[in-house]
Amino acid sequence: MELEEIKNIWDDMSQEIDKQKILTDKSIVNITKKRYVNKIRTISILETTFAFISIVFSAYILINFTKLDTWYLSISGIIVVLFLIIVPILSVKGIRTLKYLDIAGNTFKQSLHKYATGKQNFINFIKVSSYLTFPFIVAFMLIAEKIFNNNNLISENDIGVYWYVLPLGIIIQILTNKWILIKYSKTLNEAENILKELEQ
Amino acid sequence: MQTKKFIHDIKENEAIIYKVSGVYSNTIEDQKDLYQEIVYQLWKSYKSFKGKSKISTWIYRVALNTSVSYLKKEKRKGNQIPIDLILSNRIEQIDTIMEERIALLYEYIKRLSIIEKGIILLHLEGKNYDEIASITGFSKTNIGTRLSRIKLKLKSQLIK
Repeated sequence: MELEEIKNIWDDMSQEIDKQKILTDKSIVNITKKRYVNKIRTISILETTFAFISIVFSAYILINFTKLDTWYLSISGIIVVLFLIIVPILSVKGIRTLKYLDIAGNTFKQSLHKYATGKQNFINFIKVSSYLTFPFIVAFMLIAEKIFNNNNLISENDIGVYWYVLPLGIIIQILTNKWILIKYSKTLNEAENILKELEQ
Repeated sequence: MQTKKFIHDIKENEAIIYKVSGVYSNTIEDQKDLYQEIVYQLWKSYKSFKGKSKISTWIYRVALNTSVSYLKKEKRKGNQIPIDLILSNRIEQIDTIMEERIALLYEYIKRLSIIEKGIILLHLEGKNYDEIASITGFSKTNIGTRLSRIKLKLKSQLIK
């Protein structure tokens, strides 16, 4: 097949497609209606779940904040509350940036640029979040033990069943980070390649 | 009135949606999903179309941008209205040779990058540099350079 033939085949194909009609008035209306309902449902489930979990946990910690009676427990409490509020907000914001490109307003070039940079930022955010997960778990463990059992794991030198949490946490953290790198490296490379190609 | 006009415009230009969704998807399921997503995005953005450009130019732009935003999405089976997108199912007269040639054509195009796919599609659709530039946002000179590169790439694929 020669290069010129590509154009000829495309033209032949276009003629065939032009002859046929897939869409009816009813199917167009059905597509728009069904997609609209699905999107509203997806957005509200995601955002409501994030917001609900964050608010419940944060509120519970804040209500019991007076129980965190040492400086390190107070700091742990603040870290956990901030993590619970900031991470979901940034996560939803990142997803929204990718999800809601200005389809009609942007040019193809702008859309590609926004998609690629949005993807890079989101993956970087996931990486940073994964590094913060372990300190979060330690802080959460400290305050949970104090709030629920009135037990200060540090001052009482009694870490009880938590003795395995630190080494296990470190192993999980290493494996998680490795998995994230593998999972997202292809996507990250694709995003970088798009940006490089746009500059050419 | 707006809905009637929208339906009319979409039906007039449905071939564009078919071709763009074909270039930017790898399976029929994906193509169906992207096809419907483009129809939905066109409906959502229809109010913003002020008629400054041809409706087909606007549809190309929305379709290509939707394809970019679709790159990240998971397949969402079950959310679709049943439509038949398989060309050979829809065209009784289509012969096997034609079918093979179309498959080969798509195979070549799908090996190109995301940007190149968009540009070659518009070129094959007979758009001139001005129109391609207005849809894609690249300068006319840049379009020329990219098209030469794409042609070389396709030629090297054809030789292999």
